[in-house]
Amino acid sequence: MTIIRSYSELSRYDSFEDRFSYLTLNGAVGRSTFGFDRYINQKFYKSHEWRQIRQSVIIRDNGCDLGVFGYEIGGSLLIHHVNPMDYEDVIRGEDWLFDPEYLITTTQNTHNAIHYGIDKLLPKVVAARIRNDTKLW
Amino acid sequence: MEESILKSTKKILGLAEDYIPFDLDVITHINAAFSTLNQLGVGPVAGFAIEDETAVWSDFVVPLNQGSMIKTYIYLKVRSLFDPPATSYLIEATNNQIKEYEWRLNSFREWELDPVDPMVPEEEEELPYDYVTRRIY
Repeated sequence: MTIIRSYSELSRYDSFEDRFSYLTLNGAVGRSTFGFDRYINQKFYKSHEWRQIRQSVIIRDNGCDLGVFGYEIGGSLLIHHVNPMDYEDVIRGEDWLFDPEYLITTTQNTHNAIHYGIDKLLPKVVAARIRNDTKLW
Repeated sequence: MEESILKSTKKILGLAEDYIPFDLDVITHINAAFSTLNQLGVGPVAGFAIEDETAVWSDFVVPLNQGSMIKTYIYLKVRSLFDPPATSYLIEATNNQIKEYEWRLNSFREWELDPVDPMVPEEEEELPYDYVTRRIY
């Protein structure tokens, strides 16, 4: 597994769109990641070490989607590995799996958008209201 | 470099150094956190409190291995009092992290009072045992 993305690089981008572009993986729907070894993945996400690091990443990102201020997460929150992991990485217990440098807070929708490149899943930007703008929709 | 406790906490809270209207609030919360640390047995026995920006971190004398943890603890405590997180994920993560730091700092303190090397097995005292009656006499 080659490390190609990192939080340090990601944090250079201020806007949500730029961060999303940086993280996009463009995977294919239906492509197997863990397949029948998904129990390994589930064991990993239930480990004490993961729960601890998850907590510190949420605090670092202020509970915001991709760590961008203004995108506070109220619904489902998850921590995304900026470089995809596979079965072998978990079995070998790679250090980077628990390194906040390679983790980012996100929502289920944004996570799916990152993996499958579906922009319509991204949070909608609320248009700024202007004077005499009385049309709500 | 001497680092002011008030200035560094304000910086992490996102307050400019020269913006003083909230200084009293921040100082009060910092002192509340130091008070909790005092009860945990961390820092000077007589307690510690700051009055203005002249107090620096080195004034709070603690072993080197606790310094960073104390700074983060103070920040998390002040943040949760001064600017509480808006989302349940962040509230939960912050509270858990505070609890963890309190436990760890207390654990350091207990170690200082009664150092026990977990790698060295304790010598087991052999009790007088009657193998016939299977009783300790």
